[in-house]
Amino acid sequence: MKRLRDLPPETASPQERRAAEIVREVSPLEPTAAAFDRVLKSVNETPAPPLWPKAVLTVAALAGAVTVYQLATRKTPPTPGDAPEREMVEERPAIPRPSIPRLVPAPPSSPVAAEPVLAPPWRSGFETGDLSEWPTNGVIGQRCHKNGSLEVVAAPVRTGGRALKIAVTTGPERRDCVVIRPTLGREGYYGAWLYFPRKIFGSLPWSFLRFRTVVDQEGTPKDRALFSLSVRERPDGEMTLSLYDGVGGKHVRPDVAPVVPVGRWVHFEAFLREATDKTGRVAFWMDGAKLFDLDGVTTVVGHSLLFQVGLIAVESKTPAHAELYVDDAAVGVTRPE
Amino acid sequence: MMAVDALPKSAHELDFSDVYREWFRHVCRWIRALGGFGVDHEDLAQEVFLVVRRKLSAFDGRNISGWLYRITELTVRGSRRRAWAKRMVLGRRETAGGELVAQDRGPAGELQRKEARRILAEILSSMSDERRVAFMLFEIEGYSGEEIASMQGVPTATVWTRLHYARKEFLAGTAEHDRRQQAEEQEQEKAGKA
Repeated sequence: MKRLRDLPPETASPQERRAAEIVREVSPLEPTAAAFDRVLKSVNETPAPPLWPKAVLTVAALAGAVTVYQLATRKTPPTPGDAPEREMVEERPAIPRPSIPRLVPAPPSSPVAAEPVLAPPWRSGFETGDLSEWPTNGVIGQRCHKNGSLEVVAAPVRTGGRALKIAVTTGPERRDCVVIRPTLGREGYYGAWLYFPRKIFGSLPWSFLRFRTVVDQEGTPKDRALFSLSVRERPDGEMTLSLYDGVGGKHVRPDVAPVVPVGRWVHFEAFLREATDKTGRVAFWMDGAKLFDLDGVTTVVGHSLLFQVGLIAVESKTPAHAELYVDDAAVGVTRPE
Repeated sequence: MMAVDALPKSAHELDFSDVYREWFRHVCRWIRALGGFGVDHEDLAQEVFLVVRRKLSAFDGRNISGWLYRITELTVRGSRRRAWAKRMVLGRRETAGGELVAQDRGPAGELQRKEARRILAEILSSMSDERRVAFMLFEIEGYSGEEIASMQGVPTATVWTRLHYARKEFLAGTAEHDRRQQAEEQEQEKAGKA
């Protein structure tokens, strides 16, 4: 269906032409930069509302509902001539009730974690020509939504004759295309050589290396990013990095935003000490230079931790195509040579 | 075994400032489509983004436009209810908020624009909410049928059906408006001659 304003006058009926005239006079709303700043300022200056009014209202509503229910279901007192109510109840045939299984949380590892931990050292150079080094079981392995592709290619490669090409185009929904391995279950190093053929900027950042969990503390399947490295645009147009700390619920940006090189292989490495208390540590390096180091932090929330490399985009109104090449991924308890 | 694709996604990685930067313009447009020309877009956009900031960490990341649209829809609905209650209590209409953008077209152009907007608002006010909003989003704000379907969480065919009927009503409305205007002009002409 064409918009009224786009209807060619020669084919449109007189009424459509008249309607188009009206519609053309009203343009799409374009908020000004001043409005943008004004609203943002007032949102930032408005403190988060206290929870208690909502809680009080909820409690009052519940109490009201209970009272109404009690009034509605209150039995009228029996008149002297009536048979005792208990006897009437006892005369009714008992209705067999089906036994309802109790809802219990799934055991931590059952729904998803078929391969609990990775046996180190592990390497993948894609020299087999396929993704057999990343066996899949529905959780680990590969995951690629539509509009994305995983392909083992002959160029560019860092070593050997093969590398993995990951391509994703964002659309009206979230787009992921990643290869996934389980973590070690203790402390270890996770690395991969990555090649960005060109800068990738969505209007929202792209994650490319992250740790996540797929089962929460209660054993319920839930995808949650724990630590996620993303590329974003620097004011000067260069591509830089930020880290999302999903445990602390904050974004960490380095004081000096490093430039992510484009058109050459770059080594990204992470160290993860898995801990459910404040003894964990997570650190990231780019070409040997430390980017982020969170020490003395909780690094594990839930179960079944996964390490993944690839492209993860959140829905964006601005369609963007992104490509990334991966080679020589490695996991080990000591820092690989 | 449950496939990862079936698991709920987390959008914790979303930064509020990114979401604001990317979606502010769209939220303003939705507010106008949902609330009409008279609503105060800035005020409502602020309300929407306060909710967004509060709930972003719990958002599952599946359909950000749908999620934001729903918040906008509820916010606009709440504001209408408040405006209605105010009118009932105070017995007066709320003043219409200003447009975020004023077009610099000179007095004649501005008059023409105001007249077009008045006619548009008049015809749209007689439509059902669903048709009116679909019409505004498609014809005025420039969204595609697929985008509207994704935001509203309805099949694309439903959007096309709404648009089909909305356009039909709009064409009939403009014809009726022009006929009435013509009749008024003739009346005035007659009165002038008399």
